[in-house]
Amino acid sequence: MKKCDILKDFEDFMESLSDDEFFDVFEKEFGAVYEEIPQLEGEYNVDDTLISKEGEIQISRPMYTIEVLKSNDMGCQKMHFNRSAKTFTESVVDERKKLSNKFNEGEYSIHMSDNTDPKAA
Amino acid sequence: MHRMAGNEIINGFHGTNFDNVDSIINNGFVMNTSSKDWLGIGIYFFVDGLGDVPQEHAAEWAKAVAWDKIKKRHTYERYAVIRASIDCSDNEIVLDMTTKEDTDFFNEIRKKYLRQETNRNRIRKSNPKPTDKEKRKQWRPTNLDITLLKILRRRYGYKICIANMFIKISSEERRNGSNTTQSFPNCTICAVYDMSKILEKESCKEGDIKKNEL
Repeated sequence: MKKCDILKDFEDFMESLSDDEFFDVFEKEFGAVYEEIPQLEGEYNVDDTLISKEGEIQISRPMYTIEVLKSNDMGCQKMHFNRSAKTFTESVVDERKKLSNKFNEGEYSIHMSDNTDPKAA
Repeated sequence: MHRMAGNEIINGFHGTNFDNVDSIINNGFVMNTSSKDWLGIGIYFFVDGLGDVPQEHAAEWAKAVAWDKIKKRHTYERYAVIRASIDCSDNEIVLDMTTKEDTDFFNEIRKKYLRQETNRNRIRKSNPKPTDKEKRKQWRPTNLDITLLKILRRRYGYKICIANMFIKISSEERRNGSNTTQSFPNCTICAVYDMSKILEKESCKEGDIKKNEL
């Protein structure tokens, strides 16, 4: 099967699954092991919460990814930032400026996930 | 890269316990059943690409994995390397992640999956009306790439995957290596998911494991 045909078929296949079926199929047929991604608390508005909420954040991992997901009727957009715990506060302040420039409206959810990969053991 | 045009049969090197050689030569390899391995369930070989010659990688690997960390002793004292010729002639069943074309293809698969998954997670959040706790849930496979490889195998018939990886190959690396993220690969491996793609096999190296190696 040609790669372009696979890409099309894969998309069609996923579209054909109901919301209920989606996670079940990937879990049972393809061995996906789902886990809840640790997330920072709450929903954020770019203009007023990225800084004010940061005091609530508990970080125990040395490295992690901050994933900012913007949802609106145009779909979703993501930005990823790799940060160490020490620079987290400064990073959020900096990223707030970047976000303000990139997205000027919409609601943001911020997710934190561990970057450390123990698989190489 | 190493699988040049016209080079459709590649040599792979598999390190193992010397006692397994006869069985492998006569009866074939036993498929590794750990889906947590680098490229999913398959038979693994070191192949030409990054780092030392693959035969040496396989020998180092065979010696390193002989060590039982819990029992503090070698589980075997003699190792062997088996050379196998692997049929990569059909490009439609080989995912060669050392090439730009296949890497781009896999990344496109991953993007499509993540886009769908994100939308499903959003739907999960909004219907039925979520509690505060549910609102913050986002689910993602911890083994995303392995899952996508399995889809390529089961749904689209891929039988071989070649990739540059970081692997703690030697005893020294396994003893001293930390769990910190290793960003860059140090070897090239090939996972074969279908035994019929292994054409010939022979023992090409063997040796004793010195007791002071670990």
